[in-house]
Amino acid sequence: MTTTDTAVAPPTQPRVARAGVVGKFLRSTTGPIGAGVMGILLLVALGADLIAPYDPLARAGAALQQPGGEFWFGTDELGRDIFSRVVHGTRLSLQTAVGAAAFAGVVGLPLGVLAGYVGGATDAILMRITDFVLAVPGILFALVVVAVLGSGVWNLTLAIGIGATPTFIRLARASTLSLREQEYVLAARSMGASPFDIMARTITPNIMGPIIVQIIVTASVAILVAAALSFVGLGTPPPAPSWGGMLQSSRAYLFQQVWYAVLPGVVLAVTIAALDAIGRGMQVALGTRTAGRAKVGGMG
Amino acid sequence: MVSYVVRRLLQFIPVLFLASIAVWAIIYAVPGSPATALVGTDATPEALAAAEERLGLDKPVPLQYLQWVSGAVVGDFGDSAINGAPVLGQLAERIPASLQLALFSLTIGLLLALPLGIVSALKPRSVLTKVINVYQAAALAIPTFWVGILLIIGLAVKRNVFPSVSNFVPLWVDPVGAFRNTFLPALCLGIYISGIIARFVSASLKDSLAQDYVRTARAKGVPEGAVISKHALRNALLPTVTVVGLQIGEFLGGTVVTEVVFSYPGLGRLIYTAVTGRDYPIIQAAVLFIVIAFLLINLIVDVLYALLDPRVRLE
Repeated sequence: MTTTDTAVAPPTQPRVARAGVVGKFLRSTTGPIGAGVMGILLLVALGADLIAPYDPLARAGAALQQPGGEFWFGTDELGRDIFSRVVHGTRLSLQTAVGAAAFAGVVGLPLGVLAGYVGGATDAILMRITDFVLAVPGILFALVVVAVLGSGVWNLTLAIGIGATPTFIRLARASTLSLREQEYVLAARSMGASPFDIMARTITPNIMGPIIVQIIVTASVAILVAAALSFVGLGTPPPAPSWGGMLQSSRAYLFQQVWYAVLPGVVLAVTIAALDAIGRGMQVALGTRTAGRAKVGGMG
Repeated sequence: MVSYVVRRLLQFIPVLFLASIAVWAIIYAVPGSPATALVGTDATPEALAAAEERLGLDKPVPLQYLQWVSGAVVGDFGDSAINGAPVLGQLAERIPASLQLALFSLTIGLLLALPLGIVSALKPRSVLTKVINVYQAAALAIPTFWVGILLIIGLAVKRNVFPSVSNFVPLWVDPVGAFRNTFLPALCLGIYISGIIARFVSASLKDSLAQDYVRTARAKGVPEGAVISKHALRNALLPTVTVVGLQIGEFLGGTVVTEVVFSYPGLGRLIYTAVTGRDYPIIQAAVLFIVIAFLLINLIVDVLYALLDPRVRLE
């Protein structure tokens, strides 16, 4: 883990204040911009087949043409339309981001709540496992998992998801610890709620704020790591139109078609910036500052 | 202090135990026989037999682990599947290169981040701060490998200011050559971490400017420049030590792609070639080394923090 350790759980908002969170998010500087850009990118990913003017995998014209009316981003070394490939690459990237973040959240949240609520040996064992995974830089962890499982879209998603899970465990655990002795949890316990009920129905809904922020952060890191691994040829294998893979092939043609190296990178950076902006807007709205980019895989 | 360090070192044991199991199991998780994974598919039958012997495949699994780990403890991770040289030596060769890259990157990162962080804390509502905020967001969003391509186009290929392939020239042998070779990859990484560090500097400087002792200093007539540099900034830089320290841990092995882009012979590229060449002994040793280094760096950062700030009590 890098920038922030054990992302300190904020005192969770009482349920009543929840309505104000959306308003605060929309009034934050970065939130609405990020959400707007992400909305567009989601539409692009969902409607890729309708939006892309050409088949992303087939030859559409002469190789290495400059951007123009016919090919908005130009063509690559095989004469494929770069714009169409970037559009389909959006789908690929967001798919990895959603998959990895969902995996980490679905596995990490319950384990973290369990560790925080039950404590004892369960907690100790889980914490040592997270210590180990967090001691390996995110990109390296993904690289080793890919070395064992082989490359491919789903292995890549899984590799990034596993690497991101410990941060969720830590975050959920810290939040749970801060809630465990709260009056409403004690009240639920004194009314005879089972430990499972308390964990699932009383604690989990109240720690979702920081978890959702962390999901956004994880999505952005996942896109960056996936692009980095595809860039070095260990992520999504060609001819799939991954952004990282496109940037890799573009290196050989920097002088013939410089936009080939520039435009996919711009779209990649804008996507990550949009997710970061949403994350920051949410932190403002929830009044937390610490969820952070824990486990920075983005450096590559 | 001593008892704290001892306690922390004892906590390393379970983590290292888990790490060693995970690393050892890599060979077994790979499809195919572990012995083939160890020496490669085109190994001679003798080499294969030697690998089976080394892994102790005829023994019970816990014994196989013990056999491996007893070698690992004394630094024997076997030989590389690719070039047959002992793994430990190859690893040791790369460590100075990685440390030098980390040093350059952190220096660049701090040189960029300190002024940015200070300005945005002192003038939170100015136009300059808005520009800095955009820079910070961009520094974190733009992938380092893409910055690398752009830098190579601009500064190495077109103008020939820097070599586009960065060799490792030790700083103590040839400082100028070291600078020329390390600058571009370090700039990529430095820009990235400056985004993180600047945010920390800004946030903690804002915090300390709001403290009572700053108000006291101002009230007793200390000039504003001295209030900022001597009173506020000094305390604000303490948390920065933590961020910078932890970043060194991330730099060992976490800079794979940047090292690949610039062909820089650091630990990251060693691991990359090992992964592409399925050289598992190297992967095993490198991952274990990085875990140990990360744990030690964390411990050093915590101790340093307590030494710098007497208010921090190590528990």
